[in-house]
Amino acid sequence: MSTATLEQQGKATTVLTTKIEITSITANSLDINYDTLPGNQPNTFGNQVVLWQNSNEIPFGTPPLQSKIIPSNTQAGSLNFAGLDLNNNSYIVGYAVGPTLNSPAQTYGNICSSSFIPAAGQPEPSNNFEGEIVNVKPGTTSVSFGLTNFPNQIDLNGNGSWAAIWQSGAPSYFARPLSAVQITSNNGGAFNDISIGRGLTYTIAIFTSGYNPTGNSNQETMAAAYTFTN
Amino acid sequence: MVLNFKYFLTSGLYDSCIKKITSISIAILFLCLSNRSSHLFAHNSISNTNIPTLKTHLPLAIALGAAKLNTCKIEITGYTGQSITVAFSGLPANQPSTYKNFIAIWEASVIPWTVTPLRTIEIGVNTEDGTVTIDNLTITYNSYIVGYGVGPGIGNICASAILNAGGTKAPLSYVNIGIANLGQTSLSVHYQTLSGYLPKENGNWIGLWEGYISPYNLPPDALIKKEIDSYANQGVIGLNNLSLGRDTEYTLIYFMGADNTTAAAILTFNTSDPTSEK
Repeated sequence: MSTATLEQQGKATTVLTTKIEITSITANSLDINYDTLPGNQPNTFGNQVVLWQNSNEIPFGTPPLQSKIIPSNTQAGSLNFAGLDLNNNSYIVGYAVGPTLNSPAQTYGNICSSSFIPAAGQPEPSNNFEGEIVNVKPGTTSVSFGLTNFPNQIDLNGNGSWAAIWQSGAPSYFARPLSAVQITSNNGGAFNDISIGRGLTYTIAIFTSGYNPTGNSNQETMAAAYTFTN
Repeated sequence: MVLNFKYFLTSGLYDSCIKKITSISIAILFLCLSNRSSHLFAHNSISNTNIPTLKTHLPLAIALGAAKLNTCKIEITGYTGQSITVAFSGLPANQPSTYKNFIAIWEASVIPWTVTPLRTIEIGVNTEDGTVTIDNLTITYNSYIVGYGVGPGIGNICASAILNAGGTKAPLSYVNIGIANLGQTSLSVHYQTLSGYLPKENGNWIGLWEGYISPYNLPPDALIKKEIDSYANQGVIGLNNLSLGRDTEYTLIYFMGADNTTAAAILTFNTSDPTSEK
C-alpha cells in the first residue's frame, strides 16, 4: 500500500460535487444554476436553496432570510430565487441536498455547497464552499478518505452524516452499498472490513444526514462522490 | 624485378621465417594457457577452503535451509492528522474475525500494557493479511504505537509498530522463536516477545509436534507442551525428554494464551541425518 494518493500514482479517479452558482443579481431576485450528483431528484428529495445576509460563512444557527425548494426533478438546472430584498450588503446562498433537519441537528445541515455575493464594490471571492471527498487511500481490507471544503461551521457528526462505498463506477441513490459508516469528523473517515479487489472500480459517496446505525440509512442526501479504480 | 621476386621465394629464407613465427605463437599460446590454469587453481582453492568453514557454523542436526519461521506482523502504512492506517499480517490459515483478533493504539513509544488503549478495533474480516484504518483520533507529533492481538485480550498482542515523534517509522517488532540448541533428547528454544511483555502472566506456552502442523487444526498428540515459566520478555526454554527422529519434520509453535488460536509464531524444521552430512 502506497502512501501516495491515487492521483499521485496516476490512477483513474472521478470526483463529483454539488455545485451552485449565482448568475445574476437584482434588487429582488437571484438567478441560480445548480449541478448536483447523477441520479438526484432535487424536488422529490427536498433539495433547497437558502439565503442569509452574512460574510462568506454559512451561519447554521441563524434563521435564513429566505429558502426555496428546488421546483424540478432535473439533476442539473437553474431557477429564479424571487421575492427577495437585496441591498448592498454581502449575502451567502447555500445549496441543501435535503430538507430541513430536526434538533439537535443543524436545521440546514444538508447544505454542502454555497455561493457568495460580496457587498457592493467588494471583489468576488474565489473560495465558495463545495464539499468534496479527497485523499482516498485503499488498502486490502480498508479504505480511508478525507473530506474538504464543506461549510466551516457544519457539524457532520451531529447531523447524522454518513458515507457509503459501492463496487461500481458511480454512486447510487437506491442501490445498497457494500459498507456504510457514520461520519464522526469533518476531516474524513474510513471503511474497515471490506475486501478491495485488484483492478476493480469503487465509488465512495458522502450523505449529509440520515445515518441509521441499524442499516438502511437514508440515501437521498448525497453531497459528493469519488470513484477510483484500485 | 623478376630477380628480386625469385630471391624472396628461395626456400631457405622462407622456411626460417615460418619457423620463427610458429615458435613465437606457440610460446604465446603456452603463456595464455598457463595463466588460465593458474586462475582456475586459485578459484578452486578458495572454494575448497570455504565449504568446511560454512559447515562448522551450521547446527549439525538441523537440515540446511529446512527451517521456516512464520510470524505475525503489523506495519503503519499511512497516517493523517486524525487517522492511522495499518497493514496486519497473521499466521497461515488465521481467521482474524473468528478468532477475535484486534488492533489497538496507544500514544506511547512502547506498549503500556496496563493502560487502556486510545482505541481498539476488532478485525472484521477473515483474511490472513489486511488493512485497518483507525480513525477518530487526533494524531499529534507525539509517538504512537499500534499492536496486533491474536486473541481477545491485550495480553494476546504479538506484534507492534511505532510511529515516532516527527513521523518516522521504527523497525517492526513481533514475537519470534528460534532453535538455540538441538541435543540428543532435548531441544532448547529461544523466544522473544514485545518489550515490557510478561509471558508467564499471560499464560504463554510452546508446543512441539511432528510434521507440518497448523495451530488452527492441532492434532491431539503433541510431543511436548510447556508453559513459559518466566516473566522475562525473552529467554530460552528447554524441552527435555524428547525422542526426535532422524530426517523428520517438526513444528514448533508459540502461543500467546491458553487457546490454540492465539498462535503467534510457527517454526518448522527438519532434523537431518548427521551421518549423511559427513
